Amino acid sequence: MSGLIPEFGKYAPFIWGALGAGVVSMIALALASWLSMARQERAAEEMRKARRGRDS
Amino acid sequence: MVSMHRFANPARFLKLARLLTPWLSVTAFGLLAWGLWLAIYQVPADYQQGDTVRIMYVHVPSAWMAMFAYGFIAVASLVSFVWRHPLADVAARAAAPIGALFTALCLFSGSLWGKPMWNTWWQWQDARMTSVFVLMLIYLGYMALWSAIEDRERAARACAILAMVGAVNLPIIKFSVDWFRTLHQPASVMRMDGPTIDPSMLWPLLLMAVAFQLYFFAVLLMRMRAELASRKLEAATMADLTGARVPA
Repeated sequence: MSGLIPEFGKYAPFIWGALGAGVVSMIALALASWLSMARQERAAEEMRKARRGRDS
Repeated sequence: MVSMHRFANPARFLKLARLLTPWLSVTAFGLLAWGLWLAIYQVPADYQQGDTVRIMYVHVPSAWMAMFAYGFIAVASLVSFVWRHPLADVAARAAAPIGALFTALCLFSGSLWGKPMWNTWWQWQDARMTSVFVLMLIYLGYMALWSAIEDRERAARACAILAMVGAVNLPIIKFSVDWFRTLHQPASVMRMDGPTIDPSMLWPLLLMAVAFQLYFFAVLLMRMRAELASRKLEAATMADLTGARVPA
């Protein structure tokens, strides 16, 4: 395991902190944006179908 | 101008966006994983900074993208303000949280890099740090303004003015290291006489920059699609309400 994860000595918390914050925050924003997009597009599509059904 | 107006039609834009979103997302995260692997395992330690130089692979692309995203918002705001392009204010609003994330990431990773190298988490006298902090405040103000004004037309115009005025901060950030005495070193990649970084460290940095750029456009498209769907929903609800009030 120690071979897989590089040891950066006393600087490890700074390096892993910066890289980890980057990865986690970018994944979180992408995921939140994707879920928001899917929810809004689904709601708009359902509304469109409902209006079409009501009009016909 | 002609090509810009081709995509003024939201339906045409959405067709292209639906096609591009998954490809951009997969490519961005693939390149990000590759860049991180290089940054952690392949890039040599710096002769002065040791392993902390690896923080550069998040810090520098974040800083570039924080400025790029703001430039994008300023241009989109100008297009929205002058030509009333129907997608410009959607694009500007969608880009703000992404730019704010990159700015926060730049400040956070910079602080983590500053402590072991400069023995300080933060230094107000440093013009680069302070001007990027101001950029963060502008992003927060811009997003708050969008939420504060209920009428969308008025909100778009007020935010466009704020974004265009705030663009003054971009050259200050860029040239702060030349104009003022700062802890930051002068530019070492975007220089007239070429980069001063060793190629073994430079190309993984450029790879990360491309990954961050693609990530920006992938998330931008997602947020624009969400905003357009939300506006469509809102318009349909309003039409229903208006229809209910008007006697047949």
